[in-house]
Amino acid sequence: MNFNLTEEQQMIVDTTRSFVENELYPHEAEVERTGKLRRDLYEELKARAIEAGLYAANMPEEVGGAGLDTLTWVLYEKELGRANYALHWNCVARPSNILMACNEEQRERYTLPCVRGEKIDCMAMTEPGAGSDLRGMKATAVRDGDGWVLNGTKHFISHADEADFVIAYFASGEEDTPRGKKKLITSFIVDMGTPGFTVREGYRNVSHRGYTNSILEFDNCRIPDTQRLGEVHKGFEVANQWLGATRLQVASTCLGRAERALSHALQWSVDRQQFGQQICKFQGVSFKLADMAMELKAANLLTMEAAWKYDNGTVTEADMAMAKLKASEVLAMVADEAIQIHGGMGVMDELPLERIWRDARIERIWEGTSEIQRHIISREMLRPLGG
Amino acid sequence: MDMSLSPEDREIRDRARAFTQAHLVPNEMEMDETGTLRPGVVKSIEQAVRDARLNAINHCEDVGGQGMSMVQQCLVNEECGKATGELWAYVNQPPLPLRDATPGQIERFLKPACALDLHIAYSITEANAGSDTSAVATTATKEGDDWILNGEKWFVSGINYCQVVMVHAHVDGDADRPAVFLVDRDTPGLTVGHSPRFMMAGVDEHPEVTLKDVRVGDDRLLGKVGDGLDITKEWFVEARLAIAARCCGMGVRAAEEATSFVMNRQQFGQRLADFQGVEFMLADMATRILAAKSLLYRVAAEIDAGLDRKLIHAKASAAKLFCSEEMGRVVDTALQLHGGRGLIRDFAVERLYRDIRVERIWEGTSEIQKLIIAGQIKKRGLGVYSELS
Repeated sequence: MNFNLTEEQQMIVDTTRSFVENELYPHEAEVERTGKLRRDLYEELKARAIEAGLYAANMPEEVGGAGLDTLTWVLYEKELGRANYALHWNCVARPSNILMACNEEQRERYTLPCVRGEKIDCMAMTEPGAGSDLRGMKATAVRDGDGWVLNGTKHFISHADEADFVIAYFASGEEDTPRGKKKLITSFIVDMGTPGFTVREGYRNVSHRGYTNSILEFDNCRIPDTQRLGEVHKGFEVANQWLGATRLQVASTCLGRAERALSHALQWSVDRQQFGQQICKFQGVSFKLADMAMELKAANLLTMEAAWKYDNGTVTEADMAMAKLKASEVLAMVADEAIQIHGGMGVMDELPLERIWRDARIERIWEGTSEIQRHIISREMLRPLGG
Repeated sequence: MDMSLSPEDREIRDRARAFTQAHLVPNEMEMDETGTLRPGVVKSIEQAVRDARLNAINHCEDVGGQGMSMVQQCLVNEECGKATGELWAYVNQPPLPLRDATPGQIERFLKPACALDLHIAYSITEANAGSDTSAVATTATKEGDDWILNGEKWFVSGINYCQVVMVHAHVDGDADRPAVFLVDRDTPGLTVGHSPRFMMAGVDEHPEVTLKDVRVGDDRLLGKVGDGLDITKEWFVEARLAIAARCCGMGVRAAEEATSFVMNRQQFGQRLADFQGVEFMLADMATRILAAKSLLYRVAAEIDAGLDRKLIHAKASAAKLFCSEEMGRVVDTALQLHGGRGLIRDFAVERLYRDIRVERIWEGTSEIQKLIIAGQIKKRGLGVYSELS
């Protein structure tokens, strides 16, 4: 067992950190206050990210990515996660790994342009009536000659307004199982501008200002069969095989922000004097700092171990659920205590703490709520026992 | 032991509830979107406050207040606190220590404030003096019959729409001679500086205020030199109980919204409310609300029964600490029960989530309340908290 980073990993961490601090931090206040990422700023930063070799670094080398292994990718996500989400996610995009499920012809049209930064992807599963219960989805895909007709509504679709196409999931049929009827799901790639497909402005969110979500409407949207991603009725299998460690992505970006919050709290506790001494000298403050560091380290190790197991082919759903659950809850705790240590200064937008605190809130909900993660963790232990 | 509300108490609660629903809740989104309300809307809210007889609930009828008991004040604060974006701040409560002002000061300041014709802010905090009021660096120096004030205050809530600000200063820079002055907002030398943006939307801005050779007459001194700390403490006690009550209102509203959400939402073929994980969260919220309200109203009832001033200070801290912490947890749980919808700003839980964070910080952080409570235990014994009186 070796906990040291390799030289290459350290280099990626350093490069990413310096990009985040020098190129992204300076624009955070603007994005936070306006709730928008300006188009020209986006283009400029994206060009720099491509130049720095950070853009789409998650993708395999065969399609032009950096081909990072999972552990290195997690380290890279952690650094990116320190910054405002709209800035790091849009300007240093990580195209969905599901694009590796594209056939050869689709690869030319979608995968490669995404890696080069010429196209943006987004992914649509959630519906107003189907959150974690994906099989409850109502959107349908019906065969029509050599194509498909799509109908239904998707919501909470991240950055769909910036995207050139969406990978969307539809109920394409039903099968009988011992536990009743079960929907069969197929995934499709739908280009923006396809007749019958509209993107509406989504909801304003407590977290990640400037990072948009949209509502997608499919109204008799007709697409050719060449837009199908993977086999008919095998949408979930495609997702499971290719989507990758999205929960570890959430976990690692949480860890980066928590580290940033902790470093602010440490510095403030040393600089701030009250009742005639540095506030770090009060046990009420120093004990908080100890707990924050300890929780953060635990979450870090959990995430790194899951990533390492992913690379070794031994990771389980529960491993990734634990990492996501712990890291998101630790971020919430660390951000909360960092504010508390700052007192009134903590809730003002001049420091990044109030937004790290707000941003932390979504992390316990998206990619499966904390409760869904607990369900996954317990299920994995109980199933072998017949529970 | 009779913990029931009198018919009069109930009437007041219902009146405050109806007022909040009719005049505060409809303006929540405008406040959240724009960070302020149009002047016409403010005027109509203030008139509605007068019409509902909710102005100056903390003062006696002689000066134009409502003469409410502490229990009744808590009921009003709980109901008004349900509104997001600090809209409760329009339900004016002129600082309590003004009741001990001179007759002239009462005519000039308190009565118009009770009638909602005058707004008064209170400034204590400074860059290096938050909970530690002894570190206040603002000075007051006697010059002839006048006082000259110099200093820089932080987070002066409500100065954007007040006409008078109460300033906590140290006479000749001596921490043993604290004093509070009533300063007109437009006095030469008083300037409002940088106004930081906060996480929560709110009626009040909380800017920095600079006092440079601000000259006020001796009739602007509240009480005597040396009274400053007691005056500010009295104000803190009142503000802490109001926070505790408003937090209960926030928790109740969040829990109500969450309960109705999980009763209607279906996932995996059943109501969310029928999953045990959700049932436990409902039970936790309800128990926390019951505990917080029990503590708050017990302390309020003891104050109405004539509790000693020092013990009021001791118990107000416990109420503020517990209600802000526990209701913070309730709002968090309520948001979690909403799933993705809880993050949307159109949902009350999202706004309550941002609103309630500051309650664990202002008017003394949770940690300061704990210091006060520990100090009381050491000075008077645990019985202050553990014995029923």
